[in-house]
Amino acid sequence: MAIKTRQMQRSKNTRIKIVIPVCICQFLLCSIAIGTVQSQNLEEYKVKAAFVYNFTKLIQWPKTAFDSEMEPFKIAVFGNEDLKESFQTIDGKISGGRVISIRYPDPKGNDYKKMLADSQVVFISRHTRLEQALQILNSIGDRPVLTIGEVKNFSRTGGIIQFFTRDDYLHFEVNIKKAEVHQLKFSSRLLKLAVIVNEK
Amino acid sequence: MLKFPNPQQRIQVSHDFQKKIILLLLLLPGLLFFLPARCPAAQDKDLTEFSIEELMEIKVISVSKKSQRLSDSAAAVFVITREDIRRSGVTSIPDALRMAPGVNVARIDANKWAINCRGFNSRFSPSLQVLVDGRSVYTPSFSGVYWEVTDVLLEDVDRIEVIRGPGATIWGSNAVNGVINIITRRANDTQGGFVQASAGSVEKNMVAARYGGTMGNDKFWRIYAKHRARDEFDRLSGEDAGDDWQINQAGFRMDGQLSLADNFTLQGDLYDGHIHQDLYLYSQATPYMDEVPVTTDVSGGNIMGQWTKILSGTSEMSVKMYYDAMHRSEDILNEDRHNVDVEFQHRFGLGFGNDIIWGLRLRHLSDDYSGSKVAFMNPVSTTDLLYSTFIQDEISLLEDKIKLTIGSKFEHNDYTGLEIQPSTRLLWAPSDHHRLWAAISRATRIPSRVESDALIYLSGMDTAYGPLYSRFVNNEDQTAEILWAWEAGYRFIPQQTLSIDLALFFNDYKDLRIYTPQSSSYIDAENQILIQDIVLSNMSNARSWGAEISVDLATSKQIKWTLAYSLTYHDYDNDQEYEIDFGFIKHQVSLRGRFDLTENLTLDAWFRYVGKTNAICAFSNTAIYEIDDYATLDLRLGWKIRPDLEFFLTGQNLLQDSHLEFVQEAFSYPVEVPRSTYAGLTYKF
Repeated sequence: MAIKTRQMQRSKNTRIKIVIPVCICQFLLCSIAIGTVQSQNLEEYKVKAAFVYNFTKLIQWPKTAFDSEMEPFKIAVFGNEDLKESFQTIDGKISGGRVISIRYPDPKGNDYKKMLADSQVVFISRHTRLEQALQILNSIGDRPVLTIGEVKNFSRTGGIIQFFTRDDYLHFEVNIKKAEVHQLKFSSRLLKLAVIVNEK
Repeated sequence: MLKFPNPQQRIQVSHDFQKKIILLLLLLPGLLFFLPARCPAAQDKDLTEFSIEELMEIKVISVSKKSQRLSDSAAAVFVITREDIRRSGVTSIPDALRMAPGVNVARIDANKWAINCRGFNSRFSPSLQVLVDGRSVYTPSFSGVYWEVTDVLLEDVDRIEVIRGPGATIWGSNAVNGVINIITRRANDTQGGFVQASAGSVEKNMVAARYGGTMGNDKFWRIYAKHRARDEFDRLSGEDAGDDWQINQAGFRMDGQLSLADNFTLQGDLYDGHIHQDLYLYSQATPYMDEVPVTTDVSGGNIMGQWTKILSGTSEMSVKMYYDAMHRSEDILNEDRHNVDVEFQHRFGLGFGNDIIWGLRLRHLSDDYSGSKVAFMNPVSTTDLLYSTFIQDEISLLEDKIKLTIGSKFEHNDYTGLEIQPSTRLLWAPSDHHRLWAAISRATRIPSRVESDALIYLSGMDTAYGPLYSRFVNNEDQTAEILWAWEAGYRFIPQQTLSIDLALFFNDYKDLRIYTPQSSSYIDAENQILIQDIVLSNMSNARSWGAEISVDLATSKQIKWTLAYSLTYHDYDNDQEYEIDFGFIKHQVSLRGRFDLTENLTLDAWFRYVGKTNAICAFSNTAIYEIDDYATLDLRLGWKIRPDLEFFLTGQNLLQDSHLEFVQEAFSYPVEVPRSTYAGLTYKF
């Protein structure tokens, strides 16, 4: 079998060796040039916050969930700093005649359980440790609180709504039996869009 | 490393390097960047004004989606998503694997591939474990994978996880250089109909269809079928390669809930095909080598059931069983094989941050090689039993900032007895944006059936004393090849639109099995022939080291880039000073750009550069065949005519008429991969 001479290969190699750095440079240049554009992107948590806002409008809480007619809609968000910025976009909005108030309890502190006790919605991001998430769900018990999470099996291990991404679009699972336990009534419009999980 | 006395069989080689569109290459990434129009208008809108239906229509930028899931693994992992597969226009799993860094994919001819991670690539002896939905498709016959019959409906792939480096602690022997997990979607996620038809120059015609439905509230099913016919390539010498082939495949999957915490999956596939090839084999008459056109009939199937029980939030157990059968009538090796595999796994939290997973596995293999004309097995038929257990503990320390994973596999096989394959992995997450990991692991590759029991007639030639036959002589005295792998990595995820993944490795191989020719030939008095034996033995050590980097970047909502670069070095030592230099590629680059030109029009460009490499080739006088580097480009245009109807046009390997990627170890001619195009329609209902 004829084996190619070294020389032929070398000349070709140098050509291709030039191509690679140039391509990589182009790639990096593109990244720098458009680096500022990405901030306009619809970030996942801004969209999720908007979802949560819609949930408050499409789910009916029992009267016992609120102390008074004037009481704000209190949403407790567990997660990192990035989430705060996103959830601020729905803070102060009106839903069902109530002002939305977002709070960011510290799961390591002692007072977060008190904060949980008078929240109507709890959002637990994937940045929260599983043990902590289970603790949070545990301390909520069967109270009329909508629990929303992102980690796998959240809606099967005590949570009510679980976000998931499919083909770059956001979807959500609803554990409908758990919702009933928490006395939350989901509108049919919401259930039509949800993936239903039948678990206690 | 192989030397043959007075080799006479030569294959004429000619190569054409003229068609290099270097300028286009230089300008392409930049040009493509300017093409798409950006529409930031939607982004200024107040999202809280959106209805929930509208929110579900919003695309969330997620280059870091996979990194979020994978950023916490202390291993070199790369994920190829369904979207990656669809947008790149690849038509087979091997071609999809070219996206991953550290993976060498080389197409030998129209129906054969050589694939390995981190060097040592070859068709017959790579060291890669490959699983389809957890079913091992690694062939125990020759420790490789019949990639031509390893197929799924690409539309139903959820993701392909490519793990470079050993995964033996979980997946067992032969997960030495890497593990490839092909995972299909649950039937819940593939409801409704899907029909795709295409035609083209190499992909002559392809038809695929799937339909998914429900049974009651909580049981989902799908069935699929596909037909594919591929045209032949050309040999390097210009003649037709005679390697056209066609294959039909069908299958089903069912997912459901048995009770509140019990999930089950039942799935199966059947395939049947005809593969043509021109073999170059020894013969009994002068000139003792013969070109033989062969039609290989391949067929096979599998059925698998899996049951998963969620015991609590931190505890889960699963049982998996499958039966896998294959038939292959090829002149080299006739093979009938039946595998039964049973696996049990249990994961539970033990408190103090300990998450334990352990499992048991039993694998029964039975084979029959009657009728082979080139590789003669002794015994012709046998059954093997493989049983193993593994335990792994993932310990979370400092509030999950540090994760320490220690574990080991204990596996018993009929060839080398007990193999212990431990690993230790450490992950450190100093902040949300940074991950550092390191790992040390041991993995072994046990001898394949061929390496243990086959006598292979490689070639014949005419000499003054009568015919001289070269034979591969295998024997049962093989020990396992051992790899100690040292790995480290760093992931940087500064924001949702950018992720950078760097992996470094040092692989230390011991007792590699290498064929070495005996110093002299001898006369077989009974048959009046000369014999030159080439004997397999655990004769060499080797080392390889290198780096892989992958960068995911979304420069806007409409433009995404993925860069994968790998660098590999290697070295060897053995008493005979045989050069162990095959299947290594020093530089390899893949750069993909995905452009959403308008709402309904998408363009994808994929540039690849693969450095020069050496393939083992028994018919070369140095036993090594040098393969040149090549650069090439794929383009795909997708047009959504209606929400349910898409037209696509794909061009593959566009930068030259054809290029050589690899040469099979023996029995065949060098064949080039040609430029090709195909077009088709996808309809969903």
